[in-house]
Amino acid sequence: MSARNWLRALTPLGWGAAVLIVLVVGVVLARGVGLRWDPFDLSKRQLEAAEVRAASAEKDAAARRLEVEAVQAQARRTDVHHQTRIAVAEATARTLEQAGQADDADIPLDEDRGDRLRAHDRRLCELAPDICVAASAGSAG
Amino acid sequence: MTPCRLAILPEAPTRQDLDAAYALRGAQLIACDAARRMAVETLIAEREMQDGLRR
Repeated sequence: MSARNWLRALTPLGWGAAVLIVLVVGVVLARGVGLRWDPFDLSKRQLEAAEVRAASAEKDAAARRLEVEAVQAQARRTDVHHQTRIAVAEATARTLEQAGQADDADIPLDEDRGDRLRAHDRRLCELAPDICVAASAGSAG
Repeated sequence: MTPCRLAILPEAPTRQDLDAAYALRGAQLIACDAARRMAVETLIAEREMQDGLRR
């Protein structure tokens, strides 16, 4: 049977199958040689979207790194501040204890001297009323 | 916000009160300066971080 006879013998269903086979073989061959059917440029759009997402993720990661570094630096600053306060409180407590144990601790200041110093205190407290506290142990802050 | 402190002499101060006020004022100065420094450094660091985030 010749090819022409084969073609004449094909039913409509056979024709459909033959066309489908030809299409599939064509697509496979086209893919094989690197041809792409992408009339709407979808691949390029997907690539651009992926690049945008990647750039955004990199920016977010950089921001998180900055935040982590900032938190660590703040923790160091807080620790230094805390250590300073402790050292100051310890040194002051020692001095106050020694002052309390001194032989002349309970001797009143000369009246003129006391008045002069207290007048200065009063003036300072007028200028900054919120910060004045009577001298006593534990008010170093 | 906690203000800085200034120790003052009580009524009829003794020598101990004077010593205490002297020592406390020094301590208060150091503590206040440490707090001020930390606040300023924190503010500067915060602004630097914000600048870094904008880049």
